[in-house]
Amino acid sequence: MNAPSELAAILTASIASARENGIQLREVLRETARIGTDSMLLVAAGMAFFGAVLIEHGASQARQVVGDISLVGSAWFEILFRDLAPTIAGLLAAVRVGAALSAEAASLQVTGQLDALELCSGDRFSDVVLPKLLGGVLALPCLLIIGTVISIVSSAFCALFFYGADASAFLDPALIDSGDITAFAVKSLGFGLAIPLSAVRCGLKAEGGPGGVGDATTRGVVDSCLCVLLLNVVFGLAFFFLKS
Amino acid sequence: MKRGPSAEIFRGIGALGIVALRTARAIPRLDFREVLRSAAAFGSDALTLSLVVGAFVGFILVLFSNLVVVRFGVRSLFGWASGYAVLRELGPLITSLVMCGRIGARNAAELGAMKIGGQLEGLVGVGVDPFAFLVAPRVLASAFAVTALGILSSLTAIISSIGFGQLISGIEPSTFMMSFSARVHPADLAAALVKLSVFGAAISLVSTRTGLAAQGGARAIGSAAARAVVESAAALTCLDWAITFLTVQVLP
Repeated sequence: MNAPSELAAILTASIASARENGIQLREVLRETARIGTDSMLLVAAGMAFFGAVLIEHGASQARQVVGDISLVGSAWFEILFRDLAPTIAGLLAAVRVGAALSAEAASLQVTGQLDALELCSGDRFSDVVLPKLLGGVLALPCLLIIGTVISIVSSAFCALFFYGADASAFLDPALIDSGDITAFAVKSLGFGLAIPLSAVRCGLKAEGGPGGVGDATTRGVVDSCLCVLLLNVVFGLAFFFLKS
Repeated sequence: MKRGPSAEIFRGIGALGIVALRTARAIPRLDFREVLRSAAAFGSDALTLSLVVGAFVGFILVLFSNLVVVRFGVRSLFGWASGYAVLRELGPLITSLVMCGRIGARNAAELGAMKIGGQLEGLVGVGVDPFAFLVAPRVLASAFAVTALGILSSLTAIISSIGFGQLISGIEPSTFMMSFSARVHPADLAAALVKLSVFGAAISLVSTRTGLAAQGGARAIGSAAARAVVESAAALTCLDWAITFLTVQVLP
């Protein structure tokens, strides 16, 4: 159970290195662009399908309970925006980003490139870890916004074309208040920090030959997915108690 | 040669088809001890993980629905909502997404290490068909493992939503069970089983393909594992829609 302390150690070491060596802005932008563009296709396609899936379920159940699916439109928008879409988009991003970052960090570690970097008076935290963390914090909110918009549009589209419902009800943000927007922002920033952090932790712990890289990647993906689910629980509880 | 993305997609689908066909052909000559061994390894490895994921899913579900349940005062429907959402959608999808990492990436990394270490060629050299001996058992085993773990984690999710539902939304377990038993049907469980078994087979086939396609050194195993996760996650979301479309019609 020393994962939390290791995560905290990596985070503090990165912050300390940023104080000492400054932030490499170019490297941060490169990581942001890479994390964003690499995950874009998976998140966008996945969320388009997810929006369609939800309408299938919603329509099949709404027929039994309320009759007309567009009655639930604005509540639907709120649930998608506030909870479901960020969670599923976050999981998809965690799968993509967690796998890529942990594989990369692990192969740097296993092939001794991190040690080589430090021999050349580089620093593994300010040169490798910190840009990935900041890249995640910058890229994840964009990914979640795009994923959420796509899932909402896709469910409105499917409601209109497959079930002939009133699509504008599904695009009605009437029930969204500032609390929902804060929840969305906090969640996306939290995921953006947690996913690269847990992936990098697993990558840096890799040891052994090529097999070690595979193990580290597996652990990186699982840990980043668990982080997303755990943060959902934590933020959900926090907002629940703040509201009541 | 640098190929465009669409050529890559077609190549990937073709390779997937070949892996699927060779696996199907190898099933009659399967090594059953290897199936059991890998199913036990995949399953026991991911057991705790699936229970934890289930507990989280149940909890998240309560937080999601608390909004609607409290605003519209539909406490009596929560048992049905929870059972339906977990069995039809969230349980299979979220468990399988996490299993992409646990089982898919591991499978791809192990096969990739064997491929790069020359062990697959070694098997062929001593006259053993690697598909019958190594690949087909893993495909079957991980499909079984994902299905079993998914059912376990869905049950955990329902139990945890009973617990947290009482804690957070103040829904008595008896109220929960009333709408749960009245409105959740065996068809919902059947839909979950169909989804999970298809997802399990997809994860295992896709990760086997990326593992066998690994070329190069240590970096290649990492990227094979990473690609396995990403491609199987993409396959899951796409299959999820197709299966939902079918099961909503066939198992209403």
